[in-house]
Amino acid sequence: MELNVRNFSIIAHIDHGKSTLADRMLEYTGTISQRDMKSQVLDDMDLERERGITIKSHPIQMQYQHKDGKKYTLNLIDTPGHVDFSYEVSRSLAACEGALLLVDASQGVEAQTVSNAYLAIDNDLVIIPIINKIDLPGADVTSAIHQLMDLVGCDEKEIILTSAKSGKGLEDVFQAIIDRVPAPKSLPDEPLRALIFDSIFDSFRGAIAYVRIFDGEIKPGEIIRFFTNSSSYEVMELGYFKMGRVKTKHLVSGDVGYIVGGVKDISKIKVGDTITTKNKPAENPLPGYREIKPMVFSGMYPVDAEDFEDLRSSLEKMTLNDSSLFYEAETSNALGFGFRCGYLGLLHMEIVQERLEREFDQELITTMPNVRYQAIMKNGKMIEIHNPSYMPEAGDIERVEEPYVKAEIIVQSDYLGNILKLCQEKRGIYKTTHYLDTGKVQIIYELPLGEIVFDFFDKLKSVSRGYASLDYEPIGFRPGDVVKLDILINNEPVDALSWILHRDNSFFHGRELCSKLKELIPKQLYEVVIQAAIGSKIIARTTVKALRKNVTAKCYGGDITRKRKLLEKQKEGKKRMKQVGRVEIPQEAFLAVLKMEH
Amino acid sequence: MKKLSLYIHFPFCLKKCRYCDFYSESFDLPKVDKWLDALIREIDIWKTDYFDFKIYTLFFGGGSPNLLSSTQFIRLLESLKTAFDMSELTEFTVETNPVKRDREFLMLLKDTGVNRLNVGVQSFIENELQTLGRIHTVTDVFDMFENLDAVGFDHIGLDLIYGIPGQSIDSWRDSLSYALNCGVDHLSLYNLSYEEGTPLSKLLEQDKINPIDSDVEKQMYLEACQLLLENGYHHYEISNWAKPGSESRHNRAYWEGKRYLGLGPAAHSYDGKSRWWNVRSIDKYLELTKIGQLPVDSQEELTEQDREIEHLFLRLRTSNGLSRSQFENLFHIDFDRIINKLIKLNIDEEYWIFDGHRFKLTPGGWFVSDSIINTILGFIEEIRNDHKKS
Ligand SMILES: Nc1nc2c(ncn2[C@@H]2O[C@H](COP(=O)(O)OP(=O)(O)OP(=O)(O)O)[C@@H](O)[C@H]2O)c(=O)[nH]1
Ligand code: SF4
Ligand SMILES: [Mg+2]
Repeated sequence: MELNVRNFSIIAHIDHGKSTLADRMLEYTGTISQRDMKSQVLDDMDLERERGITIKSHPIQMQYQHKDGKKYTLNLIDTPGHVDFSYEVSRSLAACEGALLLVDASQGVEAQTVSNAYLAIDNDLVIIPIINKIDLPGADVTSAIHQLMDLVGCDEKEIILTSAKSGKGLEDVFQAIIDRVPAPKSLPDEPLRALIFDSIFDSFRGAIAYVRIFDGEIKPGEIIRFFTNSSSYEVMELGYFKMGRVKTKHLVSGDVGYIVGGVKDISKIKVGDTITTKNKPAENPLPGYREIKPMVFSGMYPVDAEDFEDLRSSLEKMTLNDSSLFYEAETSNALGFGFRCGYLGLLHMEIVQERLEREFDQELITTMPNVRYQAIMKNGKMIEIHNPSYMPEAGDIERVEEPYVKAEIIVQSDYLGNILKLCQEKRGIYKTTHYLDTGKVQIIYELPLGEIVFDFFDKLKSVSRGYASLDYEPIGFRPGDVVKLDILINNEPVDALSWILHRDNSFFHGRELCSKLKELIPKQLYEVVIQAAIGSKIIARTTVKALRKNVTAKCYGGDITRKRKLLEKQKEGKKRMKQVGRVEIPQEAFLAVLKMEH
Repeated sequence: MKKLSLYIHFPFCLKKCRYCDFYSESFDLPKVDKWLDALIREIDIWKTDYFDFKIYTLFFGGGSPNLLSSTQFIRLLESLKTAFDMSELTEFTVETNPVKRDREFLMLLKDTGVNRLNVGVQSFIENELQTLGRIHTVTDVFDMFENLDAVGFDHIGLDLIYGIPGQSIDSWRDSLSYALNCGVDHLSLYNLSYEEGTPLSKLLEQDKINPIDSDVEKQMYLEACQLLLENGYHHYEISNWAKPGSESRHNRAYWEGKRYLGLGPAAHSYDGKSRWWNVRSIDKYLELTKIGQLPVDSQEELTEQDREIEHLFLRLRTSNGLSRSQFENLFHIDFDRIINKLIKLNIDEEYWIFDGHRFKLTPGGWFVSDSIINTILGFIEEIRNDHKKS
């Protein structure tokens, strides 16, 4: 029997209108009432609304009455477009049979259009190509059509034209979903196999797994088992997604839904794992996900040392909902006990930190981000370096290798020259160019990751008037002439300020960093000397002169309260500083490198 | 005997100075009458609470309280005398602005028991007075002192400001020597501060004035310390100097945590447990007193921690400094631990002296006293945290 179910994701480059198209579909199917409707209604995190971007994939179920008289259950997953969240996309795709691939008619195909299209193809999904925002005055539908045809190898008549803003083309989209996306295979009698494609920590219910049921069926009260750790739990509740979670009696092959089990130890839930039942276990797990490797690392420390354990448990809960976040404990002489966290990019880093602060009430100090290096030692051993201060002595190292990526840049051909120049400056190795159509070109470069994580993207945008888009993937490690730059404050090295960078940049950046720190470190009761060193060689030096004046001259008319409050305020400010030797360093200083010109 | 210091706030000035953030409105005679009516009502509300107190010091500040007419002043005094026991008043200060200096009024003050006059001079340099937006001229100041000589007050205080945009070390020295020539027995030297919302701080934000470099301000301060020392003045608080015996008792009461009652808008009070302050608006003040209510804006109960902080900073602002035994009684921390930590900090300059019993800041230390106090507060916290852990 063919199920009247369709499971699909909406994928696109950032801002091409995925969440807005989802709005229209939710509206059309009456999944959300007129009263609750707002733009990008699925972006329900405060951070998403403030920034106007989707950060998390969001599943939701719709009941759709088709023209053919049949009723369909449509499971939609809205996905993020930003490159840092591409892992969200790939996990969502594994729960679907189809993908709506949107292209903004005024922008054409961009870097994440390409990468997300390939993700869908890799997952054997049916792609429904859609050109959106056709209402825009700058829309160039013809050109977008050519670019899309070239990308997914489709026929012009397969492409649907929409305006997610006005709802134009919406019925064609539904029609295509019903006609082209295959119904999920229905295997209710097989042993249970449910793929965990996401999870979340709920303070009332604990860990909740988001699943796609491929085989079998599941009911509350049944005992389930995870493949990776073979622990078993009772199913307390299950259901599907509407604007909130809705309880149901069972989930069956083809469904997308959630499972609440009595899982106390939240680290037991692993995204990508397969759930089966204890009584009738499946033989093999589903394929799961490729292991994701973080691109940038940075130290994360509690402002108050006493909150270390609290931070650990917050990170653990956070990884439930963000499986691309990596963390391990580390210590620093300046900052005490904390964690080295790995992220997919700087936006990801920012978002994780903000979520920890907002959702888990953590107060954090973060250190300068860096990429991962490999030190090949004279004794032949290889050491992975996530934290610059763990770099071995120069004398023991044979060579250091740095990570490279294959970068694909898509841009209007007018800006080709600028882009080539920028990539060259960043030690890029030119590979190829490919014309998408007459106006647009895709450029492939190999670049050291360390050169592009910081402000490369901003630079790219500025030399292309905002047109260029970028996607990259790691291609391994290559020898690089990199050195470790240390910062000494009153002659004491501050480990949390160490930095690994290319030798050619080290003098310039050493000086820059010293002067940035000079701005950030407030005057103290004594002179503070800031030095940058490579090995034992000092390459830059500045001083923060001793404080001359800090006095409230008047304590007049008995208004002692005000004076006390002033002192308390200064004291609060002091609390937010970290003591290195006798020098107080403000938290922002540990991120100083991000505030520099690169 | 229970002692009380009394402060009365007169909230009017002829013209607002550009740096001033005291509460004062522009002078308006009928409004002053209303203020006085209200003040008398406020006195009336308080008198039962303090019937068994003796007023120890009385400070009439503002604003420019010498703008009061003689009749108004007499009326005020009468109502104070009927409400409070003034038999042991030791110090009665009136703040004055040299803009009004008629001998009759000064005479009246003296005759009614005012034994200390404080003159807001601020500078003896004409264009510095203009920068500050003072209403009076240097000539007015000299006139004022001539009249004061004629009337003959026991104690006279003089206020100066340093760090005025445009001021130089030389002009500061000039102001100081003029001040010394006035023969006063009390001097207050205040470092100009840019208080939020004042016209002067707005000019600063707009880059329309050049603030004096803090190195220069420090030099001005240290030179004044030296000069006044040579002239026999006792530097008894960060910004205050007096001939021995002429220190202001009223200010001492504030710094030593004694009780005080403030009357008039924006006045502050303390009863040993909590502090409260009156509304900072003449209209509100009139309104509340009219319906027989206390014109209090808010109040705060001092916590143990508040008390500790206040003790520390108030004591360290005075030349007596912090007494080791008092500190140890209050904080339950061995003072040597604080000293050791300070020594470890190895501060570049001589900021403090400790003779085993008293810990005092030097003039250089006073100039960074907020930082030193905060450092010590930090040490106290550290020591307590160590205790908790062990
Ligand atoms: N004119 C016009 N604007 C649209 C249309 N669709 C979306 N937009 C606008 O484009 C912007 C981005 O829309 P979103 O729906 O947030 O885009 P998204 O693809 O979900 O973005 P990310 O989730 O951050 O990748 C919003 O300002 C929308 O109002 C359309 O069809 N026409
Ligand atoms: S005279 Fe005194 S109270 Fe009046 S405005 Fe000037 S500084 Fe302020
Ligand atoms: Mg979105």
